[in-house]
Amino acid sequence: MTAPPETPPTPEAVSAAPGAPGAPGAPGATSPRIDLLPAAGEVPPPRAARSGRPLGWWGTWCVIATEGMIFALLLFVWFYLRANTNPWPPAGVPRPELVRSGTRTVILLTSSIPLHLGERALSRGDLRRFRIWLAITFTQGVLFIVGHAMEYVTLWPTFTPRSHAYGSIFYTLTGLHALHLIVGLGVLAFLFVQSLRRRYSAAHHVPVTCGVMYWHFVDVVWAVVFSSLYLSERLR
Amino acid sequence: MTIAEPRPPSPTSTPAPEAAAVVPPELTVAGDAPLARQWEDRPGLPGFLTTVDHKRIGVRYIVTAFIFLLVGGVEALFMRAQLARPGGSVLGPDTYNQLMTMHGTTMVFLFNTPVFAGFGNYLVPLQIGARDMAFPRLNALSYWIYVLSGVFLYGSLAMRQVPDGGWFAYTPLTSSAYSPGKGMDFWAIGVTFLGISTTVGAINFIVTIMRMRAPGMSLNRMPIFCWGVLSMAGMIVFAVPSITLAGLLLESDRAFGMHLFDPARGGNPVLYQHLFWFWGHPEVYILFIPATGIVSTVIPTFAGRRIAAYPLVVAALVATAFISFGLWVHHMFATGTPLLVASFFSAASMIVAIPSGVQIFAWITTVWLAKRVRYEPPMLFALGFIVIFVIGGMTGVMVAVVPFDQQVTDTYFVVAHFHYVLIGGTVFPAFAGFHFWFPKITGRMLNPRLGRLSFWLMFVGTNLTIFPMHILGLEGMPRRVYTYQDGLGWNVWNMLSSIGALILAAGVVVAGFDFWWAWRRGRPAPADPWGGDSLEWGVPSPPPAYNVAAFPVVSDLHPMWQARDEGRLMPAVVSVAGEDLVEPHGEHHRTLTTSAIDASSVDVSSMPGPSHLPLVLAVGVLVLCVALISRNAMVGIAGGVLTAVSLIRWHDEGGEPVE
Repeated sequence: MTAPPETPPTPEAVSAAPGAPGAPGAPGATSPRIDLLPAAGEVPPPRAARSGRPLGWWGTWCVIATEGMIFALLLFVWFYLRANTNPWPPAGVPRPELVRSGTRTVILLTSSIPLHLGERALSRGDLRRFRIWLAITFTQGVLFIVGHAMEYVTLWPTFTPRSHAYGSIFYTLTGLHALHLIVGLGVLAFLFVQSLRRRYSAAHHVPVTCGVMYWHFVDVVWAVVFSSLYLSERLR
Repeated sequence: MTIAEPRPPSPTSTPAPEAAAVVPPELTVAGDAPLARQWEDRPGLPGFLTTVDHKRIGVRYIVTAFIFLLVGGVEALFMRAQLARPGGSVLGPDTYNQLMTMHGTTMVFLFNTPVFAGFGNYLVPLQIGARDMAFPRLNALSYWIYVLSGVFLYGSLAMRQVPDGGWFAYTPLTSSAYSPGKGMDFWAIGVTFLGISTTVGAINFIVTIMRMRAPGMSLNRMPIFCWGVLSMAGMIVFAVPSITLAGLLLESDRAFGMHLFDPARGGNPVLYQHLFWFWGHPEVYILFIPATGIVSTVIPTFAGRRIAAYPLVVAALVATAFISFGLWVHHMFATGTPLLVASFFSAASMIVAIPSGVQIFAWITTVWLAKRVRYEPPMLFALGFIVIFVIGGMTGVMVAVVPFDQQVTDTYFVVAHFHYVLIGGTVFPAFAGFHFWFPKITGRMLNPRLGRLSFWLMFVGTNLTIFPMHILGLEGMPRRVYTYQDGLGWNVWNMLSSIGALILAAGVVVAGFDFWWAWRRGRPAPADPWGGDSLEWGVPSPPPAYNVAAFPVVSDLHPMWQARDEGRLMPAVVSVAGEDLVEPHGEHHRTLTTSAIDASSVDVSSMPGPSHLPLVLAVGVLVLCVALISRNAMVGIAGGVLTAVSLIRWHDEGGEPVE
């Protein structure tokens, strides 16, 4: 991921444009740090300043939009099948249990908090605290995945993806989310290793910003998936 | 036909249209300056495989797409040969189904979408005065994935397992019960694979256009073509996930025995149609909107005046992009949608004609108000587009009416409608673009006489091929059939259509010859052969590797015309915060980023140089696809490792150096 430097340019004196015929044209008082060529008095010069969020931040939002669309469409599949299939769920499928899946949900949703604290520590330049918070989030993610696998082990004897459409969409939706979470764990591990190599600092950590955004996104997706596949199914 | 005698390139033979702008000297540096050396690729094969230059990638996109256009066109010719007479025996039914499927898949996925990605890649950075796309390696990745997915889809030919369930791949026909063999697996995996390319390309366009416009190029001073690409990219981000999912779920049903589309086990075949068309309808506009961006660039240039109602044209583009997401069910009226749903989608389908109409009237007004119109080949293709597209648009409103649609569903009337829209709405603008930017891209002029010949052949050929299909459809000829009986009154129209296809093909061949000849022997092109208004005409033809040395400061929608009219050079930024951009010191590629809406504040930013990782990553994903189709776990593990390693390397290399 390309990352622009985040340091705002420091003010300094006007430098003569190299090889420029004549002086830099911009009125120096309004923008001392940009040289224009050739003299263009009537054109308002741009300001040299932080021009906005890093490019990676924009790119990550686009990825989240398109990935969010994938999950939105899978939920559409879920509700479409639920509305058009009778009986739903098919015979032999137990009602979703809420205690263990609810606990897992709490573990995953709260994992965003240490990650956020870690990012704040990093913005202060505290790499050690950043790694500690990162490790806590990572552990929570692993706990969730383990719980997820245990649920699959329990459910597999009653129905599989090949049993009926309910099984197909249930395992597809939860499995795709788990896959995203595993990718997220990989990202966290990568950030951890890179921070050990001191690749990040208070001023330069765009990859961390992007990775953290992705993790929050995967969290929020689970909240919606849990509400649709577990809570709403139970409350019917 | 007559062919102009090739002349050795010499500056004196360059045509000098009126007011041909000279290259503003502040935008270029000497060929051996540090900036030029820093941005140039290594020579030979290593440079070819590792380049991240948006211009090289854009040209590759366009050339590859053109090759797929020829392939898809030959497939169409075979089908027309078969259908020219009743009871034809050129092709058997199976071969016909395969050709029909591959023709649609090739034209939509491998020609139409990528050709505009190619134009966008080449032109967007030049038009907004940037040195490259925001994520150069991602750009290379998106090309490699595109070409490899094309190879993958046509690899089915080598395996003799060609997809034959239609380019829309409706279930249950494409379920493993009715389409055994690997053909539809190639299709489902191939389009999912290609979706990665389209999506990362779109993200790149959005970030580039939002953050890398020249200082002063606020959104209301952005060229319409860039607006078209931005709208297209926004639609891709939200629409392509749907075809990805349709392909993945279809493959899950076929390969893993799932039942999502199997009614016997609680699945639903109509669900597949929803997923397909939730992408499929916006896709029509994903193709059409950048095409109108080209038309809105070409027409004002040859009319020699500003486009009429720029804000309305831009609003129409964006409105079309939004409305196109509310139309998909009109492809499914025949599946028995509830009346209320059908009414909603019918109304929405008529509403989308309004923004299209706004654009068409803006083009007509622009030509109307022109003092003198130059009918060069690009302009001919743009005007031909208007004629053909209006006919296709009118039949579009007709099939939006539910009772009429029920009457003509699955007949040749629908085939006629969407070929008018797609050939008129996207192929003609693409050819306008080829002729318009060919001098910029290659530094050579095309032969205008061949251009005119090719236009008239294509124009007559298109109408002669497609118009009779309206009549055939109204007379009840069903689509997707490999033959028909004598005595139904369809013979004449089918024969006319087949003759038209030959004329259309002749036009494409003439154009292809013109391109090939001019690329090698054409007269050298000046920086601005047409008197264009946007920034790409301010740099030499072809542009240097770094695009611009100093970054132009824009204070008008038509910066080149403004500089010409006011008789002065374009102001340009040469250094920011003491960092010299024209004579760089470090090794890193540096470019400007500007604020998103008004581009008023500027900032210097690093970007990666040439890299082998895009190609390696694309090959890694290709290996994963091969593993899926061959159901081979070892190949899958190899592909997974290759993909993961190159992803890690990618992010490791891309990191900002910490000082």
